[in-house]
Amino acid sequence: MMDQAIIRQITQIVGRENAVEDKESRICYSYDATNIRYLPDLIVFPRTPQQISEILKLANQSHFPVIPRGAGTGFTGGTLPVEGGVVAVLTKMNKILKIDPENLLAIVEPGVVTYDLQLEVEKIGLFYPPDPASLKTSTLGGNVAECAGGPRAVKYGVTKDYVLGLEAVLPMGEIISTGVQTVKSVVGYDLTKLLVGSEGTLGVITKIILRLLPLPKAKRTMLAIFPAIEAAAKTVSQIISSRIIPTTLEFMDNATIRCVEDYLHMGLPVEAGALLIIEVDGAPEALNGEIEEIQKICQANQAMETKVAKDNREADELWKARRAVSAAVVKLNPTKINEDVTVPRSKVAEILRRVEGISKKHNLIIVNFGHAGDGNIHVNVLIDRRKPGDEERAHAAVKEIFGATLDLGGTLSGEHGICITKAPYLGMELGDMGMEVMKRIKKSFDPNNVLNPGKIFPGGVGQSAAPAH
Amino acid sequence: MKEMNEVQEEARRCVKCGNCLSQCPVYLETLEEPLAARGKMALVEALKEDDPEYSKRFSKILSQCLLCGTCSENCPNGVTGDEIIREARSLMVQGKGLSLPKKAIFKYFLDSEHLMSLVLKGGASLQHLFLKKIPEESGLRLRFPVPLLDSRRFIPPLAKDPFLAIHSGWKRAEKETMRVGLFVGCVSNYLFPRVAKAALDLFLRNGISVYIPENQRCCGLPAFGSGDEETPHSLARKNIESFNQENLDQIIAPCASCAAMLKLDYPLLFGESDSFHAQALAFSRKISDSSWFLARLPGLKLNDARRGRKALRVTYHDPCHLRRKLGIFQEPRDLLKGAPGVEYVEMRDANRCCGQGGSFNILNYDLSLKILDRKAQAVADSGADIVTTTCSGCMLQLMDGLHQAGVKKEVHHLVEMVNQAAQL
Repeated sequence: MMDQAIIRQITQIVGRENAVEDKESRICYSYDATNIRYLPDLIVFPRTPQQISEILKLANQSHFPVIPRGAGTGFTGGTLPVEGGVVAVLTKMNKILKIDPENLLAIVEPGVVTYDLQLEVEKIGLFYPPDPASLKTSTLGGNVAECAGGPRAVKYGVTKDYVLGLEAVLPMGEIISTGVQTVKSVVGYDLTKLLVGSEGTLGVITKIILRLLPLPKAKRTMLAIFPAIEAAAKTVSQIISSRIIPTTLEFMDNATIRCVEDYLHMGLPVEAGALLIIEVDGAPEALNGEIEEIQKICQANQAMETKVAKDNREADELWKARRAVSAAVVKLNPTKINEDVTVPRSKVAEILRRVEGISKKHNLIIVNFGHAGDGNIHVNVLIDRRKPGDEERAHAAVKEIFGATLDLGGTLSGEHGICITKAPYLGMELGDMGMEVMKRIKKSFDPNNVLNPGKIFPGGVGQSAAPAH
Repeated sequence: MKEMNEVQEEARRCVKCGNCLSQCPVYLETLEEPLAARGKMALVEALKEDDPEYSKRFSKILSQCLLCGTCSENCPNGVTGDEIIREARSLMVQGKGLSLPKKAIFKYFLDSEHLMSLVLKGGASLQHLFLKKIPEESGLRLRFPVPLLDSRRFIPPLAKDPFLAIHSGWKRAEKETMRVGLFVGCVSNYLFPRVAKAALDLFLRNGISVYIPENQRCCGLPAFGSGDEETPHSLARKNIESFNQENLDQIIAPCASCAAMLKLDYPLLFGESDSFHAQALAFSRKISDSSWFLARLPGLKLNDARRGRKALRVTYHDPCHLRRKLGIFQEPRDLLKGAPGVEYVEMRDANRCCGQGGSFNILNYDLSLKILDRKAQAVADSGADIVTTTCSGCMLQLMDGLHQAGVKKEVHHLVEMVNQAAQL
């Protein structure tokens, strides 16, 4: 437990109404969407970068951890206070400071909910594309820290492709601005790109300058059903090679389809090998041509059925199945181990084949779905935490899946991050020298290891922030 | 009444995805995790069965929930957050008992034979001593501070005579085709008898005879929502007995909150082994919400006199109990669209909770007002002259909210609107 004197000092920095340490609040800020729990000692709601700076300076003097938090919807434990300490919740720094239609940018505070920004900019015909599934709850600060993705990444990229600049408080309390408000700049090292996806370990983000696009004028949605995964995967490759980049290209494997059909009873074909949901957006004149082209490709690859939505309502219906996946899969088994490996597009069918082999070998239920368009598969291993042996087999399977992923030229995480859940596997992808260089960067930013300790690097960076307790 | 481990088992189904944070009206105003369903599920999970520490903080957190059900409606895992929270309140009442003021109000006032009507009738004649009229409005404000009642509050005057004092027993229709009971509800009885009267007139005009037992009581929802299960049990018994005395096709409750309580919760108050269970089930099956009932009446007689005159622009607020608990939202809109002389306009976020939440708005007036303000703005932006709804709690809240926001629109119950269209 942290010293009461220090807690008083921190409370003075943010004001009494912005600091809580009662048992109930600590429980409520001990988890994220992994449902793993670590109790913090204190929770604060800073309102300015100066307050965060003072807290971090104090943290370096008195050696306690500081953990930044948005809405707490991350999937890898990024905001869990694994060594206790102070959770700094950024949700009340939630103003949209500026939307600039001439310069196509927005400047926001980290606590702004992603969907709220999207609604605001869409009112004036602008577009912020990254669409993580959590967008109605998650904050832009969290999205930046984890470089969040989403189905639209296949065409539009991910969060890091939209961050022009940041203001951040570094672990020793320094407040810096990185990046620009212009389209181009090359001045010194790209600190913006370093901070995006740094999972709250190199700085606390206090302002974000985001690039916006013009809002596409129209959108068309279709569904295609295939007898086998290979057919669906070939279709994905061919769509891209025919120079059509859909806005989203989502797939569901047979296990997922069965699961969702069980849950929603909407008449999904439970014998199908896979289904694809494909969306194209842009000028309305071009879309009909593109959809027709895509339909032809699907049919050439033995699609059993293709359905094009006539309007928004029908499009919504087509998406229903994909949106229900998260809820449907936990009915198979209550504990979901949710990985998001990414392979080159051309290797999607192969990784799925290997995952199937691994699931049979370890006698596990594994369902696969996700962003086929960019090779980002959500591999969900479903176990029952309470059953002895389940967790061990799951971890063994996950390790093999990571091995297969890297073997095929892929990466361990497309959009969820490493934090604590994937830290043990980091070396597999980065190698010793890669990890070494990253640790050097962390140490140079945070010599006392106070900012979000215990994340990314398995076994730590060599120094613990908090005194042993 | 559920056991703690049962309630905890349900709370454990929450996987902490955070979806509820994007919907919860209380979280959206405060941005405090304990005040969202996700936080409360974690707190319920953390209770120790042999030594549950119902601390003041825990109690306060539990009380700051509207029970609006928006979390449950949007939970991808089907966790019924509002029900679990109500059950946790019930566990607390079992463990710690009710607070003294609540106990006094629920047990001795709501469940009283005569005290409630005596006090409110007396109050009606003395109210000008405590309340002063707000110029240009139909409401009142407190003259001096009264505990628990914020002095900014807009208070509708108590009716000179409660509805049940004037209208009770059988009201026979000419050419009777149906016989229904009318469950008036406390707010309509003491504050807005015109609502129950509108329902009565509509039914009689349409060949429906109405039975209004004079000794009907409060439905018990205010107590039930607070976790008290004894008072509702006692009230339920009395209400069921008083309506079951007559042979009725249906029992109409114009207040959606009452309707939900009577239809969905009454059977749960009597265990299956309880001899009264069958009567409770039979009673609950007959309960209908007024809009659902009216929408299904063949040839509902509405007067055409308003046709051709300048239409009244009317919007509709979905009560949480009607939309989320009873699943009814199309019927009220259809009735309004079909009423002659009425132009229906949909308001933004019509199904967002008004912030009343039973005792929530008394104990958390500022927070309630903040939630309410969004609704008031939506009403103003809709361009409607009148806002209608089918819950008396919402009516009270809307009147106060529109007044606080300076939005001069009338608030009416749907049946008044439908009946008014019929009579104007």
